[in-house]
Amino acid sequence: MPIEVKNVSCRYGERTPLEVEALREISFRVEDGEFVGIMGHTGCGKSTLIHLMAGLLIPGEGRILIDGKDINEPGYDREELRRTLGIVFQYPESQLFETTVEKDVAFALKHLDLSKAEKAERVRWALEAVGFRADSRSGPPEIAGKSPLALSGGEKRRVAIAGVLAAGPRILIFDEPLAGLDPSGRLEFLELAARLHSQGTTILMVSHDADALCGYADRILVLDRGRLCAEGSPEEIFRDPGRAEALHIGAGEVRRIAQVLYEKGRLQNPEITKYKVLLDEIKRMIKAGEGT
Amino acid sequence: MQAVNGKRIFFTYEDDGVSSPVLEDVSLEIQAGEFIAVLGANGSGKSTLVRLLNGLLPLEKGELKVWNLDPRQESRLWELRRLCGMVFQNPDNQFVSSIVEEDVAFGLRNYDTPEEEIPERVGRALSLVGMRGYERYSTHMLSGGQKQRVAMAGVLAMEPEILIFDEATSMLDPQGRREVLACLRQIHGMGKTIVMITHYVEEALDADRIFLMQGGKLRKSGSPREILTDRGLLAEANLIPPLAVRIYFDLKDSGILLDRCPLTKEELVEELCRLK
Amino acid sequence: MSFLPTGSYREGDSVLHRMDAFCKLLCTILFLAGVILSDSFPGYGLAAGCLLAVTLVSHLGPGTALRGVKRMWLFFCLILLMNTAFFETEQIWWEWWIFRFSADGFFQGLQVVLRVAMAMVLGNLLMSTTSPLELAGAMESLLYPLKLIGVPVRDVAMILGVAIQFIPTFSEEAEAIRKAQTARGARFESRKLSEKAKSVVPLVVPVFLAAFRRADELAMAMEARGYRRTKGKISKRRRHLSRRDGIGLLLCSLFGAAEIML
Repeated sequence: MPIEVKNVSCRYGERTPLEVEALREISFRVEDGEFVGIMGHTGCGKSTLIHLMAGLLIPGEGRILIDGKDINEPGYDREELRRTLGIVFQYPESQLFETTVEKDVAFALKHLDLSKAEKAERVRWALEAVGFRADSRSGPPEIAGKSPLALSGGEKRRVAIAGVLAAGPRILIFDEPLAGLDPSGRLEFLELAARLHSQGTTILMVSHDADALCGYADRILVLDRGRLCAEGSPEEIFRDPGRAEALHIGAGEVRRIAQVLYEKGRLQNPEITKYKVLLDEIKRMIKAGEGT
Repeated sequence: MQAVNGKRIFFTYEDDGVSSPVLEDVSLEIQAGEFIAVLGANGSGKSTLVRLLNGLLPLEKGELKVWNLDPRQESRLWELRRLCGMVFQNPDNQFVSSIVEEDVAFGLRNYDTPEEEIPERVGRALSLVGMRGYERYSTHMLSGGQKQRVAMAGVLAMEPEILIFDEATSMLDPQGRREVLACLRQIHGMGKTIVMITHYVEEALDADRIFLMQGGKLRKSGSPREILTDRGLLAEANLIPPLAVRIYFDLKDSGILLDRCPLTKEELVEELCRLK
Repeated sequence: MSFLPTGSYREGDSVLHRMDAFCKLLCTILFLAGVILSDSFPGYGLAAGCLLAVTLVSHLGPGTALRGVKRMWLFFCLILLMNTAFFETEQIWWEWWIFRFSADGFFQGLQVVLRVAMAMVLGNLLMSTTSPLELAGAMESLLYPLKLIGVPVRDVAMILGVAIQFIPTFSEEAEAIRKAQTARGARFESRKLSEKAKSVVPLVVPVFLAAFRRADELAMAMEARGYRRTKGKISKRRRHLSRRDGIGLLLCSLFGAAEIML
């Protein structure tokens, strides 16, 4: 299910003195199974872009195609879009509303043609995917019967994500999923995203956290003032730290350390954005130093 | 002078008859002018601890003196809150007015500041956070970092001695976080006592001391170097060490030992360059 | 205009902005009484003319003054239709089934529509030229008599003032939740009434929960900044009335009197 965004522009408050151009002539393509990061300064149009891709906004100009079909064409099946594309908004825990976790997760399945047993199975699977393991083989995890309001912040976040996963989307969009999480919560989430990705889900993730994105994304899109300003692998995006700074995206700590080591003549190549690569390079550097 | 002195503090939340301990036997001392980072995972009791300091939560068991005032003494509570100001997590949920200067003046008016003094003090507080000139702005039009700086001005206008930041950066983007941290350092430079709650270990690097919270207990207090280079301690508290420390230990695990454990990336580079 | 989260207050330096909030609130009430009391078309004409003049003086522009009025068009049409079709009168245009269309009914409906629209414009003018805390202070002064029978007037006024400035935040929040639930398959766009009614739950529950959470956090933030419930002095700011406040009050009283006579 490739996503194609073709020449999309979007304005708010058209024909008023307050007209704002949120996006201008954006074009890109996301292949099946890719992990794409989206970066940019607050207000650069990231939110507008993901709302457009999820069909929650209609672009002023341009087309958005999923699997070759224009999602804004009159005959397009919106229900189909809701099933194939899931979106986890910023602070998704605020959307919980049911009396039990189980019911809330099942909300996305309401309009699907599934038997009761199938729905229960999906809920169980989704809760397990976000780390709530069931004790027995058949029953749901213990948390399923609890009220969403009685959970801790981190648990609410995971339940909300399960509520999106339950519909079994093949494309997942995350808007600032790390915001407000503590370090272990962040790590847990990133592992979940990596696991879903390895199972074939296409992932788009908006984040300010360069280290997190560089560690997982195949490709990064950079938006600045409504335009798509850069596109490429994490290494390419942060090749020129000055340019990245000008696009209002700071390089991650990994890239910064690599840069300093490069400037001191210790590393051959400063274009390192992944922790593991940096560690290996440092090891090699030390070994080479010992060798001489 | 001691800014905070607490001994054997306990706190329990009651919910539907079920009581769960949030703080267990916490004792702490903070000197005037210190910069303390309270570090801990979610649910470790950080916020509860600081809310006891200015009497937002009632102290049940233990002794506590904040700037020589006892939060349990209700007649002095009002005075205590002026001396011990607090900036909260969500910038949108602490404004009482949508106009910057009116919001900054809110605390002053609560303390019956003469009306003719207010504009000057509001202006001074806004200058301190670099928001002079935004007096008549709508708070809805500001960025996250600007909102938190206005919230800081609202506290600073009351001329407190202690400032508490309750995860004040956690909802901000990197730019906003830098703005708030820069302001915070500047306020510390003026001699104010700072208590900053965070779960970003990098933010705690600048602190004089770190209080590490874990499961409602003050697990350990010490300098950033003592706390942040102790991998086992951080792992138990569900925290991840700073990048330089992670690299140090990962190198150590594969048989490469650096002379000392670096805390910052500058120190790491220095250590690595010393090899050979 | 959910994309532009400005408060209802608009920055400005007009006479209206500079007027004392308490006097402005009194004027608004007098004017509103005039609008409600008027029951002839010359009366409406006068009211509309006065409103136009005040709008011009306020430098606010028609968009701000008419905010919300346009969105009510369906409601207005319904009122017109109901009145035209059901008004009890002798002279009927034509009759069909249970409907009795009459000119009197039409004018009756038009009056209601005009009154509601003018009241809304009046509300917009007040809120757009008065900051939330000024308004809270004015309400406190106005409700002062209630204090004598033990009503915590200062708190009530404060709550109202703060609630008003939270409206844009709430509408943004509601919009975000609507989007999130739509993406999870909620059918807000559905034509079927039964589905529409059911789809309100996933929208309303989170919005309320969020509102409670906000209220809770805000209360704590206010307390931390030394806000004391009803313990503070009655009104800390002495009102400085100027000539323009007197003139405003006089004009509004005259308007009220004129409406009664017309």
